[in-house]
Amino acid sequence: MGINFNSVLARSDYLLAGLQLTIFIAIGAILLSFVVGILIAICRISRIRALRIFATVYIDLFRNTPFLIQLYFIYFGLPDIGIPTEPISTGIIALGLSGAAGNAEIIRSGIETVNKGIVDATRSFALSTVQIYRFAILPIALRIAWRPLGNAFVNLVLTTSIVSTITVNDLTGNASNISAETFKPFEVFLIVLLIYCAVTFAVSAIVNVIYALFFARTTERPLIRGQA
Amino acid sequence: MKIYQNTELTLADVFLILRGLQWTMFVWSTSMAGGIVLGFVLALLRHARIPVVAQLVTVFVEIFRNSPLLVQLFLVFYGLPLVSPFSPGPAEAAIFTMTINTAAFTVVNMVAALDAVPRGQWQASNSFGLSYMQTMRYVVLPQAIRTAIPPTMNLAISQLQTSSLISIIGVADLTRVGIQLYVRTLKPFLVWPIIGLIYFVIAKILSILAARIERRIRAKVTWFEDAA
Repeated sequence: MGINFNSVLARSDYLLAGLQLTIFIAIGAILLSFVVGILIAICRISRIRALRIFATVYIDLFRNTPFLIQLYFIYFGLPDIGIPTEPISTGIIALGLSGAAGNAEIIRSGIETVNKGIVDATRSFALSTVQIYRFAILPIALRIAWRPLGNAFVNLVLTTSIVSTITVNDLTGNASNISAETFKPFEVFLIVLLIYCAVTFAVSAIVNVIYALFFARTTERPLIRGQA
Repeated sequence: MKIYQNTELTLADVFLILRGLQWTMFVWSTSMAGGIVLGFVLALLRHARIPVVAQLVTVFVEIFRNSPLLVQLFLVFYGLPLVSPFSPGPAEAAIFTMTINTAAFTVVNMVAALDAVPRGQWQASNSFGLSYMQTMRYVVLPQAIRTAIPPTMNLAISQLQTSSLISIIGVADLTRVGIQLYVRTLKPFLVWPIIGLIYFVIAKILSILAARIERRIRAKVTWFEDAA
């Protein structure tokens, strides 16, 4: 009885190692979910019907089933068809694919706000579809989508805790181990709770810095720069 | 010698799944109901800007929104018995934690909805001689609640998925049943899609319901504005 942080603080190196892995997984998952999210969003509004259907089904499936089930499906399912799985990479891939579904919806609604006239103008300059997306549509769409995307990233960071269930020794996984060793679960998980808070605040801050650096002043200028 | 005889899914497993579904729905509905009520009260406290109390609510909300539910569950289930006279069982810990988690998100939705009511209405009510309570009861809340319903429906859908995490602390919910069936049959490609599909169907039903309610609210609001 009684709250005592000493034995937990004695294992702080172990917690920090977990935090490191959590940050690594979070960065990997955020990057993957961002890239795949853009691709799915483009598929979602593509003129090719098969791509549209694929994207719709993808988004629907990933958004309406629990992440835990997706993770179990990938982690336990792939070895069954002969693909060996490794916890950390499986975790990153599952997080990335799952997060991509949400991001795709956010990016799609960003793309839909892009003025149709801009697209027509770029087309009249004979830009290819890839160039239109790269220089005209995405810079504008991402600026609009960036804040909700930031929330999605924060969410993804919190979701990384779930990969501890497939034996990844991330912050949550190591915290469980420490609590088993020290019999101080309350102290351990309280500290971990606050660490996660700090990490999410840091992620929000980074998201804001990126917005200020890249999106705050972009109007339609990237198009002109892209042509020069 | 045959050890693994019982590797097929049988009709009896349907009852096992239904049993798990029952637990999922029970924990989810209880914690949604409790969380919405608690969040509503906390939002009113915060909106009233009562010194100390409003700040405490903000800190509470930020901590629970910015940390993983999994860690919160561990904190309550493993930590609470060692530092307090309460020792909740898995289901109690799950309901308690999810209620608080839901409340934290509801506060944000509700405060946003309260702030969305134009300032002018407070002034107008004031000039009609309505007290703070009367203004809240007859003018602001009817509008704010209507605004807060769509985000709350979204929250309910996402909390249904998040509730799969309670399986990790040992609640025999749908995901837990999935693990049991998987361990027994070792057929990940059969078990996880079935479990995932059940979550999917419930989420779909909920979102169709949400869309319908939203449409009705919008119809009502338009009527309201036309009459004015």
